[in-house]
Amino acid sequence: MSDIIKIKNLQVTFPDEAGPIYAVRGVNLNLKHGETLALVGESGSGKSVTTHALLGILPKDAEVTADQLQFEHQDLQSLSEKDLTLIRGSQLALVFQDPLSALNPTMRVGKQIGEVLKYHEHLHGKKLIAAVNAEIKAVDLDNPALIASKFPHELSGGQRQRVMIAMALIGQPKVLIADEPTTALDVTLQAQILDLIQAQKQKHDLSVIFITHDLGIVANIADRVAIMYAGEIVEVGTANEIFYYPQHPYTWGLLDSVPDTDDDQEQLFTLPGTPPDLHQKSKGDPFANRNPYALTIDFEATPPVTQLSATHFVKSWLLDPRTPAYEPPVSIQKRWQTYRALAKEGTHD
Amino acid sequence: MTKNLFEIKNLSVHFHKNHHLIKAVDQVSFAIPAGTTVGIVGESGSGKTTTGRAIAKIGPITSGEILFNGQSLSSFTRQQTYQFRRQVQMVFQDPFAALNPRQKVGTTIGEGLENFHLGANRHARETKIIDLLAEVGLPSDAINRFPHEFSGGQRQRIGIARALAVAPKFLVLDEPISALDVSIQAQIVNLLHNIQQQQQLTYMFIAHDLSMVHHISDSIVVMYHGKIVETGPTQLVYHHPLHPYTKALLSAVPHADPIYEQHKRIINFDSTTAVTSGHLVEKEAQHFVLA
Repeated sequence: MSDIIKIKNLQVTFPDEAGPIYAVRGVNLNLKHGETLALVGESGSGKSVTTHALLGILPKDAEVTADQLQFEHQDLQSLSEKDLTLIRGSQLALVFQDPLSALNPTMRVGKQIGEVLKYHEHLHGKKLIAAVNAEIKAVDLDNPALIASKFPHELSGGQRQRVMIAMALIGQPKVLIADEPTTALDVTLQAQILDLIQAQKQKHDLSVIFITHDLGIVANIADRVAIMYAGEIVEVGTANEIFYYPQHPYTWGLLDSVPDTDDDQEQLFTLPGTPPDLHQKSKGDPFANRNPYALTIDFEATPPVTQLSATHFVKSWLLDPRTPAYEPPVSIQKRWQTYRALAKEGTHD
Repeated sequence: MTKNLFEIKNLSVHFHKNHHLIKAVDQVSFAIPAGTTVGIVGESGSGKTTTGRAIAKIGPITSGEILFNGQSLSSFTRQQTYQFRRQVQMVFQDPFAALNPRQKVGTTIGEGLENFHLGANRHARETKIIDLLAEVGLPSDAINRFPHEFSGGQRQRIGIARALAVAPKFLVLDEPISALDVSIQAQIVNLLHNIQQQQQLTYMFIAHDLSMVHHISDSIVVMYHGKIVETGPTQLVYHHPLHPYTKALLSAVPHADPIYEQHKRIINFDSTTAVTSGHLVEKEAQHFVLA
């Protein structure tokens, strides 16, 4: 599969009263044609900033540098503002967490969809009305004419998110960036929106970047997963590699903090400590002070990236050949057993 | 047999909107045993929060009765209402909106102490506030800082400290973790669990996320369109759901396991064929379903 997006050594710095904030620190990431890549991490880990840098929609005072920022065969950094706007508007589409703040509250939903259709397809009159209704129907909303006549606040959260997805897809984009699109929804609605995104992806041959902190959703939707921590990607691999053969202690922590409804533990697992202050350029591994597996070197030198397969990369000193033997948590060992069983079946990818 | 701190009997809360009668809560009855956690789950608009507000005596009641320690809220004297206001506290979903942005954290936490004349003097109150901060895992210098200096998880800790300040008996926790990262959710749930053990508190935990409710609740109430469709001990409701709506809710919970997710079948809830009115019937010990 060819790469539709290539990001090399992306750095994003924001000015701040207390000194610069190093929000993204050397991110390398590619999106393959037709895949769903999940970008996972806690608030402030740089997930949204990474994609906003790609789209060129960061605040003006943000300092963005990259060795490569490529969409298909075009270097996004060398494009004029006008050409970039054209690509953003049609090729790369963004769906936000909160559709209520992304939609115009004073304009009927049909009119808002119509504006986008006018821009992309130059439709008018009856044809425009028919096209608006068709777009609403395409995201599985019943009674399109009624939905079109409503204001955003008159729709439910799930309906609004469907309208947002419909609007994002009108320009027939090649890439859909979904930034926590289900976080504000109930589980049943969440499942429906995930299904809708999957269906639209197939129908329109989309490549998807899905931003979330919820590993349950990732397991449902992702082909590949990139785990971000403090502005860096600390582990990336196929969904099976991340869920059944995770190597970075931060990935272990994230997996362990998902509650298990089959298990009646008194206390839920939590990562100790708090994420680092992004004003500091960290010496060593930024995760070191929260990492029960940290070695002395974690506090002194930046960890190397180890490649475990064609798709699996980990940035941790644990995988250095000189590291003494260690045992991951029991919960993670269980996941590794699943991975070995999958490998035996020959279906681990 | 544990004593019930609250008994809710045939509670209804109706609103009028554009000449339509909305039955936000419709003939709801359940009990909250002292020292336990009752989890209330259901989709947005199912009546969870309206029920919570009625129980905390900050929302309206159309009909029915709420008993606190055996006494009806509607028969409270002024003095009893005053005491009730101290004993029952709420923690809200959005830690950003729930705190006054212009007020130092210490002032926010200390308000309740002043209102209820707890703490002999200013110095005693300050000591109490620092103790509360420590209890919820915040540094003592938080007392002089403003809410915007804190992360979402830390703000929720501030909200919990504020609720605990007046030594309550009961907390209504209205989606206290929905706005937080998964890793922070676990920290807050653990904190609430520990505080409950230490202070023998009773909780009502309102949520739409079933996986976390499972961890903190002794019993579960499932609401749909203002009605309780199922209620019972947590393990029974989770492992042996009876109502189609509960089954649908549980089937949609995502698991951090791609193999499970690939094979899972989401049960769609069909409100046209399911029983959504009638009376709760006890199917097994303490486990009731609408029938």
